[in-house]
Amino acid sequence: MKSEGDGGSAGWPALADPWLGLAARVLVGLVFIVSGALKAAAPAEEFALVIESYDLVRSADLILVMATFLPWLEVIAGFALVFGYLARPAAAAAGGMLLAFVAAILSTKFRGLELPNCGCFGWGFHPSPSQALVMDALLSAAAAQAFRRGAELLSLDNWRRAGCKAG
Amino acid sequence: MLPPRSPFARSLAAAALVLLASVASVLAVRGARQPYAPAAPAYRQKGPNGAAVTVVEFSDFQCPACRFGVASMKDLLALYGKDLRFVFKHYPLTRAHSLAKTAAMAAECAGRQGRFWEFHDLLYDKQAQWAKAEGGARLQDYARDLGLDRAAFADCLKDPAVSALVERDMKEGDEHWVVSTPTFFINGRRFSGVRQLRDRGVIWIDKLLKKR
Repeated sequence: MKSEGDGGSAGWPALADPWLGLAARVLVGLVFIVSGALKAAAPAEEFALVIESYDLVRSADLILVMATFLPWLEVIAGFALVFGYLARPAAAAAGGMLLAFVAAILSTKFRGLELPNCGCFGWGFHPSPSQALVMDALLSAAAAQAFRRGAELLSLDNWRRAGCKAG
Repeated sequence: MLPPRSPFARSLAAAALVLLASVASVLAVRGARQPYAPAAPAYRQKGPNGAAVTVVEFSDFQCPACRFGVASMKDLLALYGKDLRFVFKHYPLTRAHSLAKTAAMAAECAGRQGRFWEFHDLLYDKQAQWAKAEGGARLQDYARDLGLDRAAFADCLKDPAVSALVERDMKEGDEHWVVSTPTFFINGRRFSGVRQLRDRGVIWIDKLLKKR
């Protein structure tokens, strides 16, 4: 049996871990909801112009498809994270998108492309590409924590599992 | 109503909640979104404040394509009358056009003396002339031709506040991803170039006015 002192020193981080997972899940989720909703509420051509300016996708049709659906994907992933529905796949999807955004911004820097801002929040906010790079890197770390422990507290996944047990 | 008990029903209910919240949030933002009608000095606006349609133009006095936009905007203002408000924004492409920012400042200075639109028209009419002149010396001549107070005009050109005003428009253009001139926003919808304004802008304005 562990002594009280041993349990205390090892226990606090372990106790905080799921709460940090919940906080990370909600933080990433809220950012995705805001950024996605601001873009999805505007005409798709606006976000298409942003995607085009990154000069990574050449097909105009593909750009328009991305501009139409990517913001919705962000909003759905965001709410899935906040509500804890399919929390681990949602965290993985959000993390994947964030890493893709980081790669896209880095590629513009390597190619010497000067963008007026990151274009990630539509007309709402205008962080510079460098600010967005830092923000996306931090959010990627939060998405990793949400993936690790995010579904444990206050999640629809738990409610669904409780249904499984009850059923 | 009892909450669903079977795992399948709970999964369906959870998925529906996520989708409903997503749609509701986007619709709420769409509903709360105001038509783009930025602030600008009164002398750079035409039409009534409460007009149903606001056209915002980001333009560069040294850009040849922008010159062709002048007649189109005059046509629109004549066609739609009190239903249309026009806001002019400076977006000098300083890398390509060395005198564009100076010209924008000169137009601001003419605006301070109540002659913005006359100076605006003159700059576009005589674009080929002044855009070649060294240091924009011709701008002073235009001020004289319009009967402006030349000393006040010269002082105004040195005023950092005027430069800041033009730079604020440029920043606003950057924030809205203006990548070419002229770019028009009609109640927030973008139309790049005069051809888009003439071909699709008019259809968009008619649609907006029908929706009223």
